[in-house]
Amino acid sequence: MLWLALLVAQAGAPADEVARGEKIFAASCAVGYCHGAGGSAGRAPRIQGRSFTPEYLLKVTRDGIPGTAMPAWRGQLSEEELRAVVAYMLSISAHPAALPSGETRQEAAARPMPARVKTGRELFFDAVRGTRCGTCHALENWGVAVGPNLAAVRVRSIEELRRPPARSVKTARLASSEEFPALLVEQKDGWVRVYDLTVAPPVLRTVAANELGWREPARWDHAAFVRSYTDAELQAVLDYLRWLEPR
Amino acid sequence: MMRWAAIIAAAPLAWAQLGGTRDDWPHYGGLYSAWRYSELDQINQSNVKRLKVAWAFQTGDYDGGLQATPIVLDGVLYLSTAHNWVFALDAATGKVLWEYRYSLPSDVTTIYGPWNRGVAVGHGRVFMGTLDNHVVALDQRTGRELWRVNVEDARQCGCNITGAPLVVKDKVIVGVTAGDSAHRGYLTAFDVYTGRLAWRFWTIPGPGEPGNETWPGDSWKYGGGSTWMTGSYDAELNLVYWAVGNPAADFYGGDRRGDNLYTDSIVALDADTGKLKWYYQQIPHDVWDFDSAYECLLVDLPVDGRLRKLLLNPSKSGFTFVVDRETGEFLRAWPLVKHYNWIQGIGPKGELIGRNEPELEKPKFLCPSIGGGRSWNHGAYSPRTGWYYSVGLEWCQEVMAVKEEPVEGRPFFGGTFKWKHPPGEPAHSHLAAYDPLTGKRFWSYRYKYMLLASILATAGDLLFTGDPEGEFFALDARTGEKLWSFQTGSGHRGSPVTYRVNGRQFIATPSGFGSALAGSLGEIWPEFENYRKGSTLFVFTLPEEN
Repeated sequence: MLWLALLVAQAGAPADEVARGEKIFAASCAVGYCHGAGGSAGRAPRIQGRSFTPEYLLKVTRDGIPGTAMPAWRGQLSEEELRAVVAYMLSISAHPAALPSGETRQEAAARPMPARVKTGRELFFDAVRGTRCGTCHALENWGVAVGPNLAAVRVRSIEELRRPPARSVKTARLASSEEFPALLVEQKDGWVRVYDLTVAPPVLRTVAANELGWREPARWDHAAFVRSYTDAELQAVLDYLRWLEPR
Repeated sequence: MMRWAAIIAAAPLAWAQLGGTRDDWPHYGGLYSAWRYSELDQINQSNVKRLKVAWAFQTGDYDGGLQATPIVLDGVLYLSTAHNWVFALDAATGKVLWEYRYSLPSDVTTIYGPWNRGVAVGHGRVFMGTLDNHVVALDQRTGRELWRVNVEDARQCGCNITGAPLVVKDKVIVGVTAGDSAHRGYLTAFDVYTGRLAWRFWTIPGPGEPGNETWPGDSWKYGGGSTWMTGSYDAELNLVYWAVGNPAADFYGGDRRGDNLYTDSIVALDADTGKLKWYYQQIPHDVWDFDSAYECLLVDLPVDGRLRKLLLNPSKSGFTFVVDRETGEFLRAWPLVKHYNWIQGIGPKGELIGRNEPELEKPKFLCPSIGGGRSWNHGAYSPRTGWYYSVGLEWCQEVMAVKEEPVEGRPFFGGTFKWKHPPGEPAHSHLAAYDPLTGKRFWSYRYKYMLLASILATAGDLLFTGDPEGEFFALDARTGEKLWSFQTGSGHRGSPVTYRVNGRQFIATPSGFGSALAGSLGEIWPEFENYRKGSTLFVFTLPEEN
């Protein structure tokens, strides 16, 4: 299975870190039948779509796993590079389950949570809105992991929440001349799977590779999906995301 | 290739009809009118005794039983299983043409259990709802997945899709479970080609919408109102009819004082927009878990000398409601069961007389049980007799309401219950023939356990259904006399269909006991504690003439 492109981070400086991590991963981790392109699994375990804490990923990447083929990268990669690779691996987790702190959801719920953060979490998963953040983003084992792990990419402003760079969203063009904003997920045996981002919830479509073309940039407005949230509500969502970040 | 082109071109014609099926079984209820009646009469009262097994198909997916209605189009039978496997079989031989196994996540949870009631087929696609709340579209020729959409995160909503979708024009309409959980129900339509959301109807109105005032405080957010079975469609009126389940918490209504619209209602929606045209609420402020979830049977009959377009809907309450399907006007309600005490009766305007509600922290004996005066297994209507055939379940329960705080996506019953025999006789069931308007009973077939399989009626004046002991049998539609029976080895919880290939009529029935009710029959009958599971499709036909 060849995973081509994945859910790449969106925000400014942290996005750079993820992009740097992606390069290092491609050069060091994906090669030699190890973790596979995009972490899709080779001889070594799959990274994509699994749940890891940053602490675990950092420890294993730095120190290796004794008695296995997983080497220690300490000394070969700088501390900064190690962190970048971890940031990348977190960004490709389809179910970014555990909190960055390594807590379970129950433990986190028991941790004192400021009222604004609690409000932010409720808004993120607000079920009575047809479209909420959780429709396309997963956190703490809830929600649908189509877009990036927002606890890992360090969104810094409500403007970024509304209009992230979303560089991985492109325009897919089918042989039927139908066009739609899409996220490439997988290419395999002449078939391509893409998320159609025209409306929420996103649709995972499978199309013949030879009937699909790509155009850049995408005409896609993330703000349209967030429009049911006021500025104050987005600020609360941001507070929630910051609360989830590794401290 | 020509053959497939012909199917796709011909299919919309078949869907437009109301009434009986012929060669195909194109839709969940037969045709959009949900009669579960076939015009085929090659198999009839004179030869039914000679029925033989033509072929059998073991799916291998046993847990949860086999509860589906197979769909048959142009000699191909489409069958779905409990864990969302789909098989396309040659309907004459049982040969596998393709199979598709949906990969469920390991952490998928179902508060009731795993099962699937069927697929829908249209526009060259096979549609299925999944246990983890996705809708998938497969290529009808190859079974290859074309699209899938996650309707809502199942881990958050605690909901699944187990009902068969309904294809109407260029949309596929899908319901959702979680009516006994802290969840706000809905019905969703997706574009058949792209999978994009076309419309959503929330079964509980939001703030500012008419009906929201029937829910105090935040109760509307957690009020249930699931859409767990399959609706019907009237092409002439362009209305989709769906029956909406009970409000949550099921037994404790103290935190949701009000009518709780549109729970326990029939809703009529514009097929193109999902906009509400009318509704009829059968049970305002339900505190018995008496979903209006079952079939919406569409039939045109004279009422007081005037031919009217009717909708007939049996409910868990043990009553069948008849309304005008153009306007939603209440016309009649009549009981399917003898043992009911949750009300004394239903008045001429549909008003519930003498409500007998569960009490807080105090057990109360109420009939029927929440298993229902009937379970979802569907009835049938034959235009030859003019009768409606349905199962009735005679059982009761001791129920106690308990105040409960909602936790999103978690069970929200607001009470407990324990099944009991009815007064003066053991729990039992019956399959009977009724006048669809008055409920007058013409004959009744009594059975010592609960009949939990759907009924198929045919122009051969036969009824087919199965029982939990594994017998699949035929009754005389005019007298109720048992004419034929075959032991399939596991109980029946699915829906038989009939179709014709190359001039031969076949009867197909799922066999394989399962479901929440099946699992709890042991409470009343210990012999059901370890019922035999199964998941096999049996297909019968007449021996070839020599």
